Amino acid sequence: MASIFKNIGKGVGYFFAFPFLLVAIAVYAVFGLVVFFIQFIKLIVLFFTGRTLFSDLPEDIELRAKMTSDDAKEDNQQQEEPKDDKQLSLYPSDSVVYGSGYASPLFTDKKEEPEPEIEIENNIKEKPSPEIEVEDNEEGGNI
Amino acid sequence: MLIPTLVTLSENDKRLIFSLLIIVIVILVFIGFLGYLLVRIMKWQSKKMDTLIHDVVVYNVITDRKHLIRYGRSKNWALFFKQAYIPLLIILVGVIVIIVRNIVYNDWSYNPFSTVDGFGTVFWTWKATGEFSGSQYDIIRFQLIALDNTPHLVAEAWAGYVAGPCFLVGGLWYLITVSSLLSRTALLYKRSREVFEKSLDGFHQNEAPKPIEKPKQESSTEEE
Repeated sequence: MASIFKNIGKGVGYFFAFPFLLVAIAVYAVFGLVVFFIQFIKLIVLFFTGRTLFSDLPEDIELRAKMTSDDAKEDNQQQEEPKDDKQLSLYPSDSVVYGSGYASPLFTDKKEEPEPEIEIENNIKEKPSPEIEVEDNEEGGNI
Repeated sequence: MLIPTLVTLSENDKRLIFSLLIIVIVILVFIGFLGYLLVRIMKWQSKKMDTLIHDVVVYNVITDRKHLIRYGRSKNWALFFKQAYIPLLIILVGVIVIIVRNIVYNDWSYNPFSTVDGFGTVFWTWKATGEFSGSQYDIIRFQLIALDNTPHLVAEAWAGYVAGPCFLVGGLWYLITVSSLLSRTALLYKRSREVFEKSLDGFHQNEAPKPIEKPKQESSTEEE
């Protein structure tokens, strides 16, 4: 309920402020027109002196000087600080992935020795265990 | 005296009062909405001033109010010149067309918005009849105004067809730039008060902690 009254009050305020706002804009429109023509004449005069109306003000020049000096200070600070030359690798090393004792076989000098075959009785070489076959049920389908 | 008069109002009188009340309320709401819209647009336009004066304040190039107003004003007018030259050029084109037309026809009393030979021929226009029947419902029935013109093209109105839109578009555009200028000016004065404001709210000197003194460096001669 309070918000409704607040909005109504705002609306009434805008209603009374609107004509004054229009008058202010109208006055400024005429004033702006006069200033525009003065600036236009000034622009023409400045054109023949090699300047423009939009050239930097003394404050802008001072601002630029301050900004550049601040940048230079920052650069100097960065140069004075000790550089950390360590670069992070994009890829993890083998020790990270496999552990600290791991040495990659690709880059070791050792020649790979063939693994001794496991001998079982009667010198029969070990064969891979056969796959377990699924027995068909009586109806012929898989269980 | 008033109450018996109200009591004796007929049903038609009550309807008339009710309809007039509704019309007044609608007009009030419409004008209030227009004002609200204009204020919102101007607030949005004024933000440009912050961009113009931000750096010089942040980098302590300007450190007092008057200096900020002077700097902001010059920036504001320069921006206004940049924004206003296009709408003013459009208006200038319209003026040139009207001048050429007046020279060609040797008629300097030409109204470019005329409903006879101007831009007004392409609009519906109404005019007051001046006839009042004496009935209190004349306003409601629109009997006081009559249709004056329906849209049609006239060859003699070519200058109005060129100049009229130029004046309308350029004028509206120029008013928008002026409202922008006005809103930026208002924000500049507001910022000039706020930015350099010093406040002692909640500050008590006796309660404030003493500033920490820097330890004195021992001189090398003392060590020896």
